[in-house]
Amino acid sequence: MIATHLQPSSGLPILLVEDNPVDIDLTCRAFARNRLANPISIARDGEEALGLMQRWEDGELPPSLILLDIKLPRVDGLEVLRHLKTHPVFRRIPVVVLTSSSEDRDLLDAYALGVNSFIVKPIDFDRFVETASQIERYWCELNQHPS
Amino acid sequence: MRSIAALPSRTLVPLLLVVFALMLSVVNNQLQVREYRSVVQDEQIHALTERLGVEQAMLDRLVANGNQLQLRRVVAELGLRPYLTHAYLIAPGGHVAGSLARADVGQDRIDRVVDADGSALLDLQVRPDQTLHIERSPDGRALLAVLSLQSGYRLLVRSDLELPLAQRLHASRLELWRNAATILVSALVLALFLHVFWLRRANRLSEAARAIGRGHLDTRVDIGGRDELALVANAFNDMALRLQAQHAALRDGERRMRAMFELAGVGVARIDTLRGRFLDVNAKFCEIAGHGRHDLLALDFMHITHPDDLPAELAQMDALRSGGIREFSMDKRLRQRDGRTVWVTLSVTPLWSAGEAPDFHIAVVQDITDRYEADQALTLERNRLREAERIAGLGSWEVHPVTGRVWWSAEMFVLFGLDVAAQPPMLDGFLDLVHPEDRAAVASALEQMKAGASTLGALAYRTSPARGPVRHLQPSVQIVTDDEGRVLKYAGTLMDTTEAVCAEQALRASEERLRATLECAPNVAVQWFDRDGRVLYWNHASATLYGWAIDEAIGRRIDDLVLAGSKAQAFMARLERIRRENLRIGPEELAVRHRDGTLRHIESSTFCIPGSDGDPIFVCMGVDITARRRAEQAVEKERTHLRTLFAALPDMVWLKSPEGRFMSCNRMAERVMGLRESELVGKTDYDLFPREVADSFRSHDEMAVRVGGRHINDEWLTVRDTGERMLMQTIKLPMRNEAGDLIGVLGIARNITPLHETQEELRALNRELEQRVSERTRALSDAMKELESFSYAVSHDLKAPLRGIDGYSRILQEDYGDRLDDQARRFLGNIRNGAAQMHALIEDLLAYSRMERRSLESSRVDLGELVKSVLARRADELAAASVQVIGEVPSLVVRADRQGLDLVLRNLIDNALKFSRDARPPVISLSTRVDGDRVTLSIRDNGIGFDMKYHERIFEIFQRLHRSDEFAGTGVGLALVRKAMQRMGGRVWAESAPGEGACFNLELPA
Repeated sequence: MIATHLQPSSGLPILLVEDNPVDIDLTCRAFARNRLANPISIARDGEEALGLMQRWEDGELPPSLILLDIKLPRVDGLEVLRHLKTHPVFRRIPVVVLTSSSEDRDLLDAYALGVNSFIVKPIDFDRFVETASQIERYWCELNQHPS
Repeated sequence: MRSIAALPSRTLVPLLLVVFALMLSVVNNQLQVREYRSVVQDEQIHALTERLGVEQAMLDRLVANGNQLQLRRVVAELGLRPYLTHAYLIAPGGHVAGSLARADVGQDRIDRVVDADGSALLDLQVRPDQTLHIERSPDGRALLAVLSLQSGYRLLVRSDLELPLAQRLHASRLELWRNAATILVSALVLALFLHVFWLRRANRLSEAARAIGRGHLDTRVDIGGRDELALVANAFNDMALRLQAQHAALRDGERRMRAMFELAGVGVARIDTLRGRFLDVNAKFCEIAGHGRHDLLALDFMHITHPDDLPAELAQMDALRSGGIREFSMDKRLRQRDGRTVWVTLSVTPLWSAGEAPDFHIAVVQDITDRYEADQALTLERNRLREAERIAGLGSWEVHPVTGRVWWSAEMFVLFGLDVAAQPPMLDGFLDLVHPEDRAAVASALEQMKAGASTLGALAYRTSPARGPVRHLQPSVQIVTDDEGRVLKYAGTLMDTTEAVCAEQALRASEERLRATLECAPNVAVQWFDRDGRVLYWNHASATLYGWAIDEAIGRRIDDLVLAGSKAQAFMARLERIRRENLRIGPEELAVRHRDGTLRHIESSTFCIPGSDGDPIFVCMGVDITARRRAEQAVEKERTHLRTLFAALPDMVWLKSPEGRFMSCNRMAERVMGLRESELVGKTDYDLFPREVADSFRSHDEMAVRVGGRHINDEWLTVRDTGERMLMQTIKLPMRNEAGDLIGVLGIARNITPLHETQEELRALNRELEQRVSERTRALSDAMKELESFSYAVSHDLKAPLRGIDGYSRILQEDYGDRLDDQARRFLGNIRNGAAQMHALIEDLLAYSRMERRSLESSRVDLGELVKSVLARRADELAAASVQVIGEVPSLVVRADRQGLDLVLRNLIDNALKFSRDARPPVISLSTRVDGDRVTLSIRDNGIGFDMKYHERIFEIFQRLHRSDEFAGTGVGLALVRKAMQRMGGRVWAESAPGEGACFNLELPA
């Protein structure tokens, strides 16, 4: 299911791949606090995210940034990452792993697959808001990438 | 052509005549036909001209009258004329005004009506100056005529020639046949004549010539007549007569020659020089060659020649064939059919003249076997005599004083180093052969011989050194006289005595050498005694052995020197016995006394030799064996020790010969094998053990010999008496004597059954242990895996709700804060604190679990640098709390896992920071100590410290000494430190007292 939180913005959407509804809500709120310019679309699990890739191929506009949780039901985040980073076109979309765990194993695997950034979600909500703001400012404003 | 040429002329000539006649008839006929054709043509032209001349006038008139009907009729009437086949009247417009055929009249164009025979008419043209033109048609079969009429009318006519010609030919056929018949008949008559009078006679002549050629010399020919053929026949008859006479003479001569050939006393053969085949042999040749005549004629001379003689003969034959020689003879052997060999003298004479190609030769053989054998026997005898003389070194000679003639046997020449084939030297020349020192004596003897002396001395002399090695010669002379006592000849021998003379000289030299040897022999003491026991000879070795100098000893009696009292008497008695029985005593061992009183062991032999004056000389030869004896005693002593050791050894020891026979064994081996050593010796493994066991023992023996050193193997052995099975560790060692020859294989076997059993038990235990370890390891690894997935889940799933709790509490505080009272806001604060505490706990737990399961790398870490790095990362906190850090950590290398050690240092610094927050100012002091291969780092704070009775508890997980409202914490930090230190092979301990601060010590391997 795709839910688009309408935001008064002309920027490309940010795709959040996350299964936990609490986390989705908090993440959206965290980004909302920063008066986000980019709309957020959401995929609830890995399969859905892979389904989206098919739609991008069919012409739908791909997102400017993907926020990816690792622990997902069915197809996990690393698998989604592998698909993204082996795709001839979509590999250019920056992927930021946004996860609770800081297990060495996940960190190594994600970087081996070519993740652009690996960020542990802070428990403290204030810091989470700050982190969200930094992510957005960095990836959607500062960073240049091929369109 | 060739087949025609092969025909005899008596057939060929008539045949040619008939053919000629036929050809003549045919040509004649052809000429006749051609003439008829010309005649017929002329006649027809003439007739046609006449006729058309007549018709011309009529036609002109009819044309002038324009009477067309009449014109047509006149033209049609032309058809009545013989041979005229076509006639057309062509009007000026080109249309046919008249024709033989009614249908043609009125046609526009003539080419529409004319047929194939008449087509040539179309091309006919009349020359302007003529009105009639006649010509032969192109195929020659008809005459074509064109007639110009008035008013442009033309008459075209064709008249056939073939028909009149055929009629003419038919009329003259008889004449043609007659001519031909005349020619043929004349030719036949001519042929018959030739055949009868010439060709048949010539044939008879040639048959007669052929008969003579076949050898029928009595053939005569009579063909009659007086022509050239008859003359030839007469000449032929004369020739045949003469030939017959010559042949008869030749036959006669040949018969005589044949008789001579057959009856000759020598073997004669005519031989094909190129092939060597016999073409003719006489009876004697067959007899000598030992083959039948037919056999020989099928053979060649090489076949019957002895193989040893063949090369020489072939070489001669080659020379003969090439013209190098004109004839040759040689002695050779023939092999007879029954295998016997005969010697023959062969003479070969060629039958071809010089310069011609070789064809045949005559071989004459003469049996010389008897002569040859006599020669051989004589030669053999001569050789035997010569050989006997040579072996004896004896020459024989004769001198006739009257004639001065000298005869020498072959050996004489050899003795004087002369060529055997030479003439013996006359008496005067002989002196040159004699040694210059002996010449005078020999010369006088020769003078006596010349003078015919009846007595002569046998004077020994030597050969001249100028003629090779000097020989000593001993002559003997026999004088042969006649009845009156005059010397007829001196006969004698001359013996080579060089060897005897040399031997004598050598003997003398040898005696000298022997004496010198005796004198100088260093170890052999030699003494000579006379029958009274007085010393006659005493060599240097004796002087050394007994201590008596040579000149002191000589002349003394034995009892004064080396033997005393009864021993001397026994010695004397012994000498007497030796003399009486001519014995040789010894070698025997004796104890003798040295001059200084010490005993010496000698090995002595005593025997006697005849002295010069008939008295025996007793020779004592002694070798000093004192040193050897002492060494032997030492060896014997050692051997006794060894034997005792050998016997008492708890191991089995035995020695086998290289062939595998037991030579010796010790008591233990006796016990195990159940045999006494004496019973064992000489037996082999095969006498004692089952075959396969014995095979294995033997193979180990051989292996030891092959490797040339120790060979160790384990083998099970059953004790013979008790049946007890023992595992024997056996060492096989090849034994060699001093020369390196294999003398046996030594075996040493030790009972290692108890050892083996212990080992087996140990092995079983080990296996069990390994299995248990592997089970435990598996269990542990399962547990680790479980723990790993557990902590993975914890790190993901436990944190998410915490974030929710904190997030929503925070949203409540922010968005709904104004609607909550103070208590509610405090509760929210507590919720958020709880979540934070929970998060810290989870993080610490995860760190602890990671420390437990992750594999550590042991690398070289610079302790000083790492401490600096940790302090730098805590710089803000340290500054915020105004902490003084005292002491430098020098650059010390320790073996540790960098990350683990980093974690340890962080925790301890954080700890020091936390518990010294109330100190004024907080001080953290660092110090290090190197103790051998251990490095100790101490981190001391001036915080609240703790009671040492809690020392162990503080390192246990979740154990805390303070309430969380005093000092926040999870109770994991120090547990983590201890775990990390343990895993890195180091240790941690603390020293403290309440209020005194705490000192944490880390010890690591350098």
